[in-house]
Amino acid sequence: MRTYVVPFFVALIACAALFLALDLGVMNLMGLTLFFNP
Amino acid sequence: MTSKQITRAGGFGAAHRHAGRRPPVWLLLAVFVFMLLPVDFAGLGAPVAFAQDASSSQGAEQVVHGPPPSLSAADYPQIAGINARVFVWLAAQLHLWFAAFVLAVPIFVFIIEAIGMKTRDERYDSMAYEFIKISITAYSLTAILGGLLAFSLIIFYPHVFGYLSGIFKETMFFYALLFFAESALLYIYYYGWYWLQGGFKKWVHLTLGLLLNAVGTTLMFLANSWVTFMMSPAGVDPAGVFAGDAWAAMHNFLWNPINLHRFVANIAYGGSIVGAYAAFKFLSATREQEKAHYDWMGYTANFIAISALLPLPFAGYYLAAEIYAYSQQMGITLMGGIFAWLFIIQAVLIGTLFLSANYYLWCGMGRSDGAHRYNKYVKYLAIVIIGAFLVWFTPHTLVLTNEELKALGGPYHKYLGPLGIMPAKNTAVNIMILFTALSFLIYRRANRIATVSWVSAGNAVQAALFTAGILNILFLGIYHGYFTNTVYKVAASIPQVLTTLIIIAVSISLDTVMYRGAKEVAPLRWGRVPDRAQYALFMLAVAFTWLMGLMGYIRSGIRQHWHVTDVFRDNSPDAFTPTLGYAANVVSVGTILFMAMVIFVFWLSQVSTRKSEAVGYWKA
Repeated sequence: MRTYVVPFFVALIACAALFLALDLGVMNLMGLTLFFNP
Repeated sequence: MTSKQITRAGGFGAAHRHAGRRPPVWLLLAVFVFMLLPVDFAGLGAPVAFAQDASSSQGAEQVVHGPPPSLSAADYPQIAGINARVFVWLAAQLHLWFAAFVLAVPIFVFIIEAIGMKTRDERYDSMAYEFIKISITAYSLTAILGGLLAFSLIIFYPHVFGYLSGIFKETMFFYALLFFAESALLYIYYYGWYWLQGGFKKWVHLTLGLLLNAVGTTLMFLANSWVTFMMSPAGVDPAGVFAGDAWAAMHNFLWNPINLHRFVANIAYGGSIVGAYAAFKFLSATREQEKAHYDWMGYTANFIAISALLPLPFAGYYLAAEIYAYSQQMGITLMGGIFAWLFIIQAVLIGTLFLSANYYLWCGMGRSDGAHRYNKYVKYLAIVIIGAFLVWFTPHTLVLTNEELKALGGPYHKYLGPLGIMPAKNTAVNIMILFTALSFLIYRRANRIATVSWVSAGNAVQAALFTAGILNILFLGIYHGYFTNTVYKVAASIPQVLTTLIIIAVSISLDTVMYRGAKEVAPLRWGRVPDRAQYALFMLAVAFTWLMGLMGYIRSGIRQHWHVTDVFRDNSPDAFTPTLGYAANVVSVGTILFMAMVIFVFWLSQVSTRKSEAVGYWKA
């Protein structure tokens, strides 16, 4: 259990951070914010 | 002993020793390189010929080719009651189907041959040879249909052909010359397959393959420039007067998006057609060994088709975005006007492709004795892929009677309506692609047992990667798709695509490391696959063909009543957009004609291996 659940949640947090950074970076490159800013 | 047998018996080393006694190979190579050089400079580089033209008069004012003529219906010849548009339409489409096939096959034949060279596994070499063998007959048909297209254009649309050939005279001339190089390289590549075996000679053969692909791709790029010029003309003034910059005309707005899309699509298409060939041979094979061979061939072809199919929606999205960027009116005609309904059919066909490819993979798991560990996951994959498929082809508005409209309270369905817009489609297709990649990962694992100590952690990381990635795709699709404005909606599709690509790249890399040195459950049993899997391969080929025909019509049709958009008006009796049913029927007739020709090509490959004993016929 520990060999699966712990790595899963650690990787989940890391991957979520990575994808969030990707979203932020790409939207920023296009002159936009991640969340809608009318 | 034939030369083929001698080469094979001699092996790589023996052939290498004899390589030095064969100067004609070098001579041929030198001739072809020499032939290619001027093409590159004059056809693709600076417009040398035009620079000379321009020097004869003064700069920008000079007119190299005048404005297009203003035509009337009488300027379009009528011959024997033939409908010119349908005739040219079918000739162009049939030519393109075969051209896509014969340009794609050498690309993956080259790769398979290189893999064979690297691994020294002769099976790859034999399979590559069999692939190229199929394309040889198709090559002749491509040339015949290309001739038919050119003649039919000259006969039925002489002014259009005259205008375009006036602008593209150099590229058309070099196109014709390149065709010689393409033919010569293809024939040497094919007929010299067993002659150029082993050691250095094999390198020469591979180089010929590379040159063949370079020439083939250049040919396609040249022809693409004529087509995209008609959609997004460049290098001409608003009246259509060409001042002589051939590169500007070639390098028009939609040229590169089409180049990319066709290049990727051709590989997927070529894979599907050779997959159908392998299925045909598998079903007609009687010996176990033969079945095993064609099963392996079918799997490889399907793998090629899937590999190119996965990035294809992104290339298509890029092309569509560029069409919108070039002309919003054209973009809206494409996806918001009459052609939008054909996109629903396109969605159904793309869904069919994904389902067929996945179904084939799932059936193929039967080759492995270890697949039972993963069979339970297949139903979940199927549910997600079918769910994404349903979202993918949900229309935004429905074709309704007045009563139905009244009952619904408008053209949009309360729940299904929101699934009809692009953010929902983008989300669905990304998930469909991810689950197809997952199918492939499971297929790869089916026959192996990982031996590394961190298997459990590795699996957890992969599960987390997919979970976080899918959540991100859903967040981008739902939040940006439904709670922001159009700029955000379109922009969010880019991180969605990148998320999908990152998941595929990271999970395959991680899987490769995890399964390095893995144990095999048992040797894979090639040939142990149900016949219905072969019909999935047929379906893949037919759906691809239909899809290409349909989208080809849309690409051309969005010019509407223009030969060259906004520059050269179409005043022929056929200068109208046909009804969807009519267009779909023409595409379907084309698909049937193409499939009949492909079956002929497959049949020829069978006939060429048969031999009849004519006892008593010949003099003793």
